[in-house]
Amino acid sequence: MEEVKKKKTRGQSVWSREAWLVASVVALAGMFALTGLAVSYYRGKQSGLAAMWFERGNAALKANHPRQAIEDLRNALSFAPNNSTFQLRLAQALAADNQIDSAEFYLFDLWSREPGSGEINLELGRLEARKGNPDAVRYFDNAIYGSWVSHPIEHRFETRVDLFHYWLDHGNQPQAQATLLALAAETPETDFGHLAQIGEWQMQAGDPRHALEQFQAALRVNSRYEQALGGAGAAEIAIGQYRDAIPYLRGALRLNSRDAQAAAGLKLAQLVLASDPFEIGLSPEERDARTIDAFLAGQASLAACATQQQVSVEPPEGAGPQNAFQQIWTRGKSLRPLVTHLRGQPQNVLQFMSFVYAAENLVADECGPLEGKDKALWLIGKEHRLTKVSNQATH
Amino acid sequence: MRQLAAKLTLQESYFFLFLAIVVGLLAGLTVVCFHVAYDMTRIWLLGSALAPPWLPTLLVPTLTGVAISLLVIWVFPEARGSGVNQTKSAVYISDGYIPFRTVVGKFIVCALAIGGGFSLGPEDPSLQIGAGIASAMGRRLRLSKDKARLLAPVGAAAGLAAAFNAPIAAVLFVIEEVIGTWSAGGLGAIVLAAASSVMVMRVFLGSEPFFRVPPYHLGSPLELFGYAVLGVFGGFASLAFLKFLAYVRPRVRRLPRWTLYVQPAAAGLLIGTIGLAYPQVMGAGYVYIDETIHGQFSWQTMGILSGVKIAATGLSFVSGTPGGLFAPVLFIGAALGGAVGGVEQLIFHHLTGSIGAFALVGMGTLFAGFLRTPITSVFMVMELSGNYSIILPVMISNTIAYLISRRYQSVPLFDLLSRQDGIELPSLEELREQPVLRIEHAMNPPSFPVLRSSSLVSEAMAVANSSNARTMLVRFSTGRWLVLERADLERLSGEDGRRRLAEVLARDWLPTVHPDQPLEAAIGFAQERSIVPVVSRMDPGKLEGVLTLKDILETYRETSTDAEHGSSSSVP
Repeated sequence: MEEVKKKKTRGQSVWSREAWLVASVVALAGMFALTGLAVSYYRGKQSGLAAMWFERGNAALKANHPRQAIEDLRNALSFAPNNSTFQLRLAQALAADNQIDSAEFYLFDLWSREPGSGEINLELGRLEARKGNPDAVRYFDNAIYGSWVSHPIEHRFETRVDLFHYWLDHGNQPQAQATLLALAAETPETDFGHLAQIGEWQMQAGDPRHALEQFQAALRVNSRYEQALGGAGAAEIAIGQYRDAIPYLRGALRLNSRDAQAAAGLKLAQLVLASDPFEIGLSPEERDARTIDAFLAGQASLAACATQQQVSVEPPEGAGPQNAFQQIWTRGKSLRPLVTHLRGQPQNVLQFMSFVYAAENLVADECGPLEGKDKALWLIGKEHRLTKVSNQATH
Repeated sequence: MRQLAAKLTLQESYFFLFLAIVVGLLAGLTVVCFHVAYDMTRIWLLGSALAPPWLPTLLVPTLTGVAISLLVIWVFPEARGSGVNQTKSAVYISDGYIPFRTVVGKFIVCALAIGGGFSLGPEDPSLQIGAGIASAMGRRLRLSKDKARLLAPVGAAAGLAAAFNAPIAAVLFVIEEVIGTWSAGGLGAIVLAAASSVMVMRVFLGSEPFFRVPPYHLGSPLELFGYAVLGVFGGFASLAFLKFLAYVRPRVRRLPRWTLYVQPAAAGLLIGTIGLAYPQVMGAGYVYIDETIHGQFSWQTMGILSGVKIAATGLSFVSGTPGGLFAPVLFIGAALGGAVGGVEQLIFHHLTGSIGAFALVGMGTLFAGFLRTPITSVFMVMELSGNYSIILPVMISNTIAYLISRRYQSVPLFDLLSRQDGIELPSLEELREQPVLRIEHAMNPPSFPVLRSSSLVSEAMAVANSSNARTMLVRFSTGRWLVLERADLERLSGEDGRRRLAEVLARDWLPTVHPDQPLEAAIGFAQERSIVPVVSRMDPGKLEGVLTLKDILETYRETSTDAEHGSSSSVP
């Protein structure tokens, strides 16, 4: 009887136990709902605060207040720690504040999660470029061929420009030129602004021939584009085609008479054309006059620079030339007797102009950039030497 | 109806596992709400900026301290103290009983404390909240004492797992620090509860890890020396923190009772003052741990932060403000790791381990040194980082810190706290390290003849006469053993000496034991039989020795005498 009683009690208790468990499961469902409500409110609040701080941080970064931006973006990140955009912007702010290592941590973390992201690779490339780390090239390349959420063409353009600047800053002109050629190839033919810009960079990279092509391509789309006209003129001068430079430069000045660069370029081109004794079709008198004029200008320039450097152009008595000034001056002096024997002696013209080139070269090295007629004479000399070399090769 | 009830009735073991899942889910949901509560409290009280303006920085912790002291003294006195120890007390003293009021108290007061800027973490309260929920369930379901006692740690694991988002570390911590033993029955329930609570937590709060850990790889094995150095620093930092608590807490507790009203407020004011210069020390500090891992601070700043965080956490804790120490310990470890890593990189430029890696290893190092849970600390770092290659530096650094901490602070943190509170809970560290007495330590070589069952009774009699033994052992070819008393042998010899022992002896087999078995396994046998044969595992017929109750008691007596004289190597 006692046993039965016990069993009964146990049966009831067990049943009530299961019932309690079922009730707990029902209570669980209720708690799930309540927790869901609480979490949804919490999430909403967090998102709102994150967005607010992010906007503030973005604004501060745009206003070039990186310290403030860092603080705001860190606040934003505390509410959305896994938000890649926030992290990226914080890394940008840190980089802007020269906290390179801190920025790098965030970027490496992002990169480990999204190694193909163009944006992250570009930022990493910029950071490594600032550190002078050659890894920058790898990140720039990744960015060029990586994925972009929006405006991929513009971003890839931007990345190539960064890569070009990296090469240029590191004195690697061939790579810089190659990067610009790739950039030009990807630029739409109608985008005259970017074409002209590429031309400018090609000029910086010492590639005036390709620069001229970009300027001309830009002008085919917009013949009244001042930057392209000025650039084309400068490119023509850089490759020694002074006569061809003039129409471009005049065109630029027609559009903007205050374009000092175009005006200077035009003046230079005209000076070169007016001073060049090797110009085809010149009368013998005119050639002699230009040669003597150049000779005198070279001597004067050399003497003025020597005075500026407090160096005497005359060697001490009984002694040979002691420095470059004296060497070239002495060479000039030896040419003076030949002034009257220029006519019919083209090799004498070469000797005179060779002296002028040597003198202007020295002046440029010792006394700073040349201007006006000196620059024109230097350019003529430079061009003449190339011609001479080319003539020697031909013969 | 009764039949239906019988059909629906679950077997006890299945019922317990099912209950563990329900406990896990409930604990998970509560911990999610707790997370929301303390974070929203922070936003409401201190604002949404990481560095609050100076006035709230000073006022909020102070006023929160006033509110906390009133709540703890008048409404929730059970909320004071360490959640781990209270859970252990429940398990060892009160059969798993934790008042539900404690759960409510911990929830409210800890949310207020953490949200109000006290340097405390949510893990310890979460652990106790989980244990409290489990305990309440156990009472409601009228579980047996054993099950009720086991259910509290199940809930504790669930609570901790949800708070940490690290189920393995939570399970290990509860086993290492709360239960102290690996039992198959308990382990299944604990794992299920931890897994279900983490699942709930991830549903609501996302599955992303707490810390975004940068990729890590060990460049050269030589770099492990760098982490060993971190272990040394971590060990001494743990020690400093432990000594601070050991020295200051009892003194604060001895202050007059009225000071209980002002202690949290005073601590809050001091923390606020520190917070004016270093706002990073306020609250749990997860955001800053993440920033430390991401190398956002210089090594100098990280060094200072580890020091001021020890001060802020120590003040928070000794003032009696309820809250956990886990998160602050992780913060201190991360900052210290980052600082040590930064200095090492300055000196050794070839080190490839990032500051983040050092910070991560530092977290585990301080955890191992301060909380003295070496296994949990290793798995915790692995779980938090999701990176297996970090395990080697973590193991090296943690072990060094653990050993230093043990060498100079014999009593572990939780035992220290419970002793300060006047409770003598079993020290699980001591328990783990107690030498296990085995049968081989107590057994003796047989001092009497061993006969074969195939021997004639007359032969056995001759052996007995020559040895003058009163008791003999008889070995059967099956490897079984019998004990033969001289009186019985004499009787058998008188009946018929030409018969074999196997034919005449009653099959009252002796139980056998093996030398490697724990000594306690032989006590029952030795009480029933005068002799217990100790046989080889390879050959049950090969006698390694014999054991008597006297031998066993003698061995225990010697061991306890040695222990009293301070010798740890008491095993004979």
